[in-house]
Parts: sequence; C-alpha cells; structure tokens
Amino acid sequence: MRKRYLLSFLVLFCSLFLGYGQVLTIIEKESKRVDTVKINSAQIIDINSSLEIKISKSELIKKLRSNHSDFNDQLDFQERIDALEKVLTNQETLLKRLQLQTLNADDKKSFYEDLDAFYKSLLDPNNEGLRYQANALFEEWRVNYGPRSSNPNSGLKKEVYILSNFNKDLSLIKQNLANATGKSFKVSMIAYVYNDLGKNRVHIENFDIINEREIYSIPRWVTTLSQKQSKQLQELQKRAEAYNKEAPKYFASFKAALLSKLPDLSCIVNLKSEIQNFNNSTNLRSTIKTALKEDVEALITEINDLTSLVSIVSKDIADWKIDTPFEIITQTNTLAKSVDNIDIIFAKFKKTTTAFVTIKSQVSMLSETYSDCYNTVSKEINGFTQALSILKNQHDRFNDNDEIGTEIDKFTLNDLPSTGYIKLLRSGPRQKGDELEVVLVLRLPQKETAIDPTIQASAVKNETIESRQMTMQLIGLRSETVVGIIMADSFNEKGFTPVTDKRFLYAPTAALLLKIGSRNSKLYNDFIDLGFGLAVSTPDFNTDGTPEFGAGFMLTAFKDILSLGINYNVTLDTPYWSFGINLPFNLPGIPINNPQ
Amino acid sequence: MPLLKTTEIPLNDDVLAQQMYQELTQSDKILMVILGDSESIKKGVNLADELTDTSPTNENRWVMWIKNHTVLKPQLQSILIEAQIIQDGTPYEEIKTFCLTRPNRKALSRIHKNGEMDFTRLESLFVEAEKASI
Repeated sequence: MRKRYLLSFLVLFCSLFLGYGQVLTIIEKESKRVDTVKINSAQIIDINSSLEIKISKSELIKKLRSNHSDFNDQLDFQERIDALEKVLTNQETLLKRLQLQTLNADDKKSFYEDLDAFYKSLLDPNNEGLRYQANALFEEWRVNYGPRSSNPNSGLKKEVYILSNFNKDLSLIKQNLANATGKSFKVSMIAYVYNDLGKNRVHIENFDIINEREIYSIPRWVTTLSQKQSKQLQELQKRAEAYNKEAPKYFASFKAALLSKLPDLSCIVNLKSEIQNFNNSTNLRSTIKTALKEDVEALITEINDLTSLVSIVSKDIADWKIDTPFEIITQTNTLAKSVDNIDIIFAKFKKTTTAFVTIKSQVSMLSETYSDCYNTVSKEINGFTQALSILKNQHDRFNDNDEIGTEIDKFTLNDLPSTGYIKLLRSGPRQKGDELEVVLVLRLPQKETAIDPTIQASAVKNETIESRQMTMQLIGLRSETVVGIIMADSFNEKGFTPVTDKRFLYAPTAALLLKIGSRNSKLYNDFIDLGFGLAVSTPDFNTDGTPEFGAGFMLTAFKDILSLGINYNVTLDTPYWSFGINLPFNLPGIPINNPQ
Repeated sequence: MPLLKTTEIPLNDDVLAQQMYQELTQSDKILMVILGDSESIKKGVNLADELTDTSPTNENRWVMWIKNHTVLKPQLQSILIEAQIIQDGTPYEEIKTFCLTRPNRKALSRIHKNGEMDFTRLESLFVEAEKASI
C-alpha cells in the first residue's frame, strides 16, 4: 500500500516539476454529477459510480520519449500519424461535399464548419509542420491547377489536392511505422479493486475481455435487513465460503498431482548399486585405471545429487503455499540439467571402459540398464515439467493477479482506444473504503522462459507508465443501523426507585443514523465519521429485571465508537441522557460490545 | 502579377476612400482587409487576390487594400472593437489583415503585424468569414 502511495507521489512530482501532464484523466459519473477526479485531491469516488478514463496520447508519447529513447523513431512516426489523423478527422464529409456542384443550406453550413475546423487545426502551433506542408501543397496546386495557372480548367479544387496529398502521406508514414526496426512495445490498461482479501481485476470496457461481475450495489439507505436480504446474504456467504475453501483445494489437488509426477528414481538407485558393485568388484579392481575410477565416482556423485534434488523438490512442493514466491521451476531446471550431466558422464565412462576388453560384457550390461533408466527418468522429468507449467499458471492466477494474461488487450499507439469505461456497479462485491487502482502499462517483449515457452505472461515485461488510486466511498447522505451498549443516566427520578449507589446503568441500544460520506477527506471518512439519528434502548432504571423502553436522538463519532444521546424513558416517563464507548475490542469483565 | 479582385483604397483622397469603402461594404462580397505596404504585405496581397478565385463554394471574395493605418481608421477600428479583436491592448496599428463577413459586416479573427500572411492563414480568414456569412 505504501509503495502505491509512493508511486502516486512520484507521478505527481514528475508532473509538477518535469513538465509532464497526466496521461490518464478520470471522469466520475454518478447520477447527474460528472466530475474529473483530480490527482492532487483526495481522489475519493462514489462506490456505485461509473468512470470514464481518458488517455492523452500526446502526454503518453512525451512520457515514453523521456523514458525510452529507443522508441523515438516510432514515436516520431506516431506523432505525425496522430497530427494527420486529427487534421483529417472530417475529410470524408469534406471530400464528399466538395464533389457536389451545389450544396443546400444545411450541407453548406456543415461543410464550412468542417472546413473551418480543418484550417484551424492547421493553425494549431503543434501542427506547424503540417501548416508548412499545406502551404507548399497549395503552391504546387496554384502553379499546376490554379485558376491563374496554365491549366485553369482542371476542375481540381485546392482542398481536394491538399487532403489527398495528406492522405498519401498518412499511408506512407503508417507503412514506415509498420516497417520500423526499433524496439516494439504495446500498451495495456488494467484496473484492480483492493480490499482486505487482496486484489481483484475489474473490467475496463475497450481494454480487456474480463467478464463483468455480478451487479453489486452498495445500499445508500439501510434501515434493516429484510428476510430476503438475510437469506441472500447467507447464500452469498455460503458461496463465498465454498469458493474460499475451493480455491486452496484446487491448488492442493494440483500439488498432489505434481507430487505424484515426481520422477521415480528407483532405477537410478539400482544403477548406482550396480555401478558401485562394478567399482568394488575384486576381479576388476586391478584392471580399472584411475580414469575409470574417476568416471565412476563422478557418476555416483551426480546420481547422489539427483536423488537429493528430487527429495528437496518434493519437500518444497509439499510446503509450497499459494502466496509464496515461485522457486520450484528453477529447481526443476537444475533437476533436468543433473540428468543431462549423468548422461555426459556415463558416455565418458563407457568410452573409458571400451579400452578394457575383460570388462566389455559387464559394461555392455551396465550400459543397457543405464539406457533404459535414462529414458525412463528423462520422460518422467518431462512429464513433471509439464505438470509444473500447469501449476505455475494456476499459481499465477491466484497470486494477486499480478501477471497480465491474454484477457488484457494489448494496443499499439495507433490503435490505442482514447477512452475506457469502468462500471463500479458491475465490479462485484466491494466495501466502503476499498481502493480502486487504474494502471497504464507498457508491455515490452522479453525472452521466453526456459521452462515453458508457451507461458505468455512471462514473455512480456510490464512497466507501469501511470497509475491512479482512488478510494471508494458512499458519497453524500446515507443511513446506517448500529447496535451497542450505552450508559444511561436519568434526569429526574420520580416514580421509580433509583439505584442509589450508581448513576449510570448499562442498556443495549439500536440506532438508525444518518451519515455523510466526504468526497474530500479520507480522515473524515475513515476516522471522524459522524452520525446522527434516532435511537431506541432498553434500560432498567427501576432494576425490577424488566427492561423499559426508551427512545431519543443519538450523535455518534469515530466509526460509532463514541455516542452521545438524549432519550426519554417511555415506560417510567422520565428523560435520560446517555453515552457509549463501543471500542472495537473487548476488555475482560466489561460488557462493552463492538458497534455493529 | 496584376491584382484582379483587389481594390486599392486611395491614401490622399478621403472622400473617394469613403465612397469606395461604402461601395465595398454594401456589396455582397466577402471582404478581406489588408493594411500596410511592406514587401511581405505586398506578397500577401497577391496571394489573397489569387485566393479570391478559389472559394470552394464559389463565394464572391474580394480584397480591400489600404496601404496605411490612417485612412478609414475610424470605420475599421470600430468594427474591430466590436469584434473584441483590439480590446486586449492590441492597437489598431498592429493589425495587418482581417476578413469581413457579408453585411452586417463583422470581423472574426485577424493576422497580427508579426504574423505571416501565408496560404493557410489567409484561407482560414476567408473560410471563417464565409462560414459566418451563411
């Protein structure tokens, strides 16, 4: 969390001091309210709102230029394409109307609006190059096709000449961009909701193919839970529990499958014994030269290493938790390498033994045993590696959704959509105070992993270009119910016998409170959190064991930990005031409940 | 290159200048006003004159060239003030070119003394005035 705040700070710092603008502009839409979420504000958004995320391509290009000088050629092409495309926005209607001999009043108006926009865009200081180009094209047209040229009746209008030449240029630059040899890159945008359980992907329209989740609206006006809601809540809870149990089970079953696929080294162990017997054979000892002895020792050492490695991998898989870093792939690579080493050493051993005619038959038998064993172990290691790849994919899914898979679209600057949309209402379960993060990611090609080249996620290096964090709250007025314990003190004690040695009596209370969610202050939302409303309580002022009924007003603060009330005991006809301290933890012996 | 659709306003005959101005402003022409007599302005006048024949919808374009900022100043300055073109501290003398819509005459944009009188700028003035004249 701290890292993300640091990142936001750095982005803000860069924006202010290095002259970069924001690439992402986030516009919040809630009911009739449309507002930009400013980066230097508290960035609090309504939990049920919709977001429009706009990408400034020019700012993106500026950032890419400053961070990746190797993209400059492509970015130059891209900037020219963007400028031309912007200038040519209305070219189709312009060209269509330029072909017509006469225009009706409406068409003429539209035509001049488009033409005026065309020239105004050429006069934009950022399009100076295109303005010069337009001037040069006019000059060509004037000399070759203008009304005072040698070819005054060509019928070619200057606007058509300029637009068609701009189009030719656009095609050429696009072709150049496609053939550019510079480093290639793509851009993606991803959104996550962070809560106590970790983070979840959220669908951004135009940027991914993640399914929208169930509609989950955070109710603004809570009075009580209906039976239907309670039932629904219970079912949801059961589903959530089942899902939570299922997720580790799925992982555990894969772990078990992987363990069962661990290479069976029994043939290797037998081979080791046979080689040791061969080495210890008294008949042969005298004939075996030092070189052969060295080979045998090396072979035995490597086999021992392999056996220990398998044992380590087995233990690591058994201990492996879903949230632990993935290191087993490295071990498996070492395992495969160890088997290859054994093959090399055995080949050397075989070569050395050919010099000894007397042991030829024994070596031949040994070689046959080895060959079978090597094939078996190699095959098993391959199977293990494949199973491991599947498990790695599972691991990736569960491991914080950090890796970006094919569900997230990748775009070149040319086809990058200018706007993405998030409907928070369709982003699944979330709570007040949860964070929403939108990240613009630069995706650079990376070397494929040794373990499995098909694992796409590892083939791309991701670099954050810009990220925005927003806190979701129910902004504005809302209602909440709260129950707790109050200490009640009556004002006058007529009509009943008070407890003489006690001023305050404990009483359970329930309140319906009005609260306000702030768009500007996290401190208010997360800590101060005032509430005001109606409260009912059941004190027992006359201590007859039967609770009386009291009703009144209650003011709460600090997430309902503190409460202050003025009430009326309807049963005993007496007013009383109360206060409550509902700490979010229990103290032994003190009947203080958590506010609920 | 002769100027075919440009009226040069005389500098030493106020009565005639007024008369020509009245005739031009009461006509149905889209009227570009060019002020000054420098070499770059002369080139600009030639270009503007040529552009009068290139209106994409065959509007009647015309150029009124006044070689100084004294003749017809009250009339033109009031149009520019009304268009809020010279209210931002820019004196009339620093305006080089602007275009008037058909009657009632209105100015929209202008080319400043330091501005370049190239094709894009001049054509943009014509197009803007034609758009506002519909």
